[in-house]
Amino acid sequence: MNKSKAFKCGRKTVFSLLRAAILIEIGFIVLYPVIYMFSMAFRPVEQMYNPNVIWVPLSFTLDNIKQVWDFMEFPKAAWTTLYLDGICAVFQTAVCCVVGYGFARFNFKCRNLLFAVVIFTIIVPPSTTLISSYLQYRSFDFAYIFSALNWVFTGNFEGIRLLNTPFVMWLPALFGMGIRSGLFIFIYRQFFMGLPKELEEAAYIDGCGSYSCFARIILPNAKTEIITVLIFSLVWYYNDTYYSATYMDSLRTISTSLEYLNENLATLSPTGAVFDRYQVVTLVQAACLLVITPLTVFYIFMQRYFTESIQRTGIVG
Amino acid sequence: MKINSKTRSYERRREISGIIFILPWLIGLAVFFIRPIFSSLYYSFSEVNIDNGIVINYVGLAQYRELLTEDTEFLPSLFDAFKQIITDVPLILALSLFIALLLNQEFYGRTLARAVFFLPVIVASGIVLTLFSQDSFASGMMSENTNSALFGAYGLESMLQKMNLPSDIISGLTGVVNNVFNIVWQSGIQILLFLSGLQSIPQSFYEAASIEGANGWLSFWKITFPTLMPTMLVAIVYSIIDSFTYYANPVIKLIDTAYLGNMRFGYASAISWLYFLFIMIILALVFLFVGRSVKYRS
Repeated sequence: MNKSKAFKCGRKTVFSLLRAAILIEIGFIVLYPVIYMFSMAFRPVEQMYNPNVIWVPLSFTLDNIKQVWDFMEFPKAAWTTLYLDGICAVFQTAVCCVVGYGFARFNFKCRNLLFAVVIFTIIVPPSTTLISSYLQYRSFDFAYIFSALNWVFTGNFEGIRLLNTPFVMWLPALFGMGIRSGLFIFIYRQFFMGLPKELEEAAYIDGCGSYSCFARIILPNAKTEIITVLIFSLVWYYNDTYYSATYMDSLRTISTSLEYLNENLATLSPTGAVFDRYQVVTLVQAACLLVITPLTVFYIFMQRYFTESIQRTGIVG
Repeated sequence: MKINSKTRSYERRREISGIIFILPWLIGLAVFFIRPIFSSLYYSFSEVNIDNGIVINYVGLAQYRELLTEDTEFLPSLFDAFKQIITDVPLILALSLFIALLLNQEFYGRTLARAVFFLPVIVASGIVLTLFSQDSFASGMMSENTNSALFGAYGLESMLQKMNLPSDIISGLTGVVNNVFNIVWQSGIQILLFLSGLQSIPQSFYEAASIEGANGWLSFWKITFPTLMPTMLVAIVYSIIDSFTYYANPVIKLIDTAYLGNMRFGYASAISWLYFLFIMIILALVFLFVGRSVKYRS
């Protein structure tokens, strides 16, 4: 008895060590650029010329961070990101959830064909549709609804100019056409199809309709999935520079201001002096560090929802 | 008879509810997707010139014919893209499932470990990675150690050429190493997908299995794996799409060159459409073969 306990304990230790080894090994590959970022961001620029300094600087400084903070107008960019991308992510998470449930649980005409279209929307790269989307947003209209609205408010019977307004991002997100919305619909659909049908059947017998059943029974069970999609959606909106830079060159998010910083750093120093190559490295890496920090913190708060299996109310197995 | 009409009206009601559930997406499809996608389809049959305003000449199938018979790059690129999927996707799936299983266990420092494996999700989809691969100092630093493989072909390719070793051996060896790094970097999304998929397996399944005397290995194959199959399908489809639409994919590069380099918008659209067709066929095969074997618990 004692012997087998000791054996079990030993096996557990070996297993823990093995797990630690694997995670550290693979974790290093992942961490490598971040270590580089830290190493560059906090070193005084003079030490870039010091051949003794490779990874760990002799002293640390916050100057680089401060400089890019001001360059990027970080608080302003963060606010823009929050209301632009944050709202997009919330819209997208909510709408895709509803649509995904529709595809998972209901039978209607052309369901499979429409679902194939959902998948198709993911594989179309943005560059394919860029020109016509741009023209469309320049004077946005659908079946003269928006022209009519415009006429009511301003007296001009023409499409609404959506470029350089947040609506150019919000509207597609709200109607399931945001960044990779199709993938989210797919994720939700797969999850809902995996839920036991008994959950809903019990509710239907109690006289619950489709909509209240969705709101009261399904949503509370989909917490992990909703959080997963929210995380992905926020990350992809946050990281997007393609759409933001094309449709809204006047509004700068954190990612587009990083791009802007990278392109203009050489000419934009406050003293008018041109930065040299090494200084650019420290500044750009400091900026990269600033860019990835908010999402990492957000994820650390969210990941606690990825623990323990969910106890489904009212159903065993 | 009465029952029959009642069930039919119930089914009809369900059908209407279903359409209402997907209505937001249907509206979005009509407003935001149909027009751009059809104009791009139309461009693929036309010569588009934007020198003096936009001039569109309908040329029929000429561009497709050129693509399939004259273009020396298109078919080989397509084949390369396909080969990449066959080799990488299974590795990505195995690795990410493995890491997700590890991260799902309870151990000291789990929050930190999970945060670390989330980094590829943040970094790989954004401008940060582009900046990192452009950073001459970083790549200079990397070419002095084994991590040069970290960012793929950039450091590795040049390193290979500098070494005067038999190219077959070198490319075989470093190809594997190179792949490992790339695969870890492409697995972030899949790890998170599996991690959240693992949360939906009720603990009671495992309790029942252990009472029946199943060990960890057995309950993985009998419980975890089958219950994860819906997530697996998402992960497979995502990995394939990610690989096909990655900016360094040979066909995507070809499209970008035709689009921005040569300003042949019509030709770029024609490549895109053949490419879409190809991807959709592959995905249809995946749904046909993998989708069949997915068992939903209802």
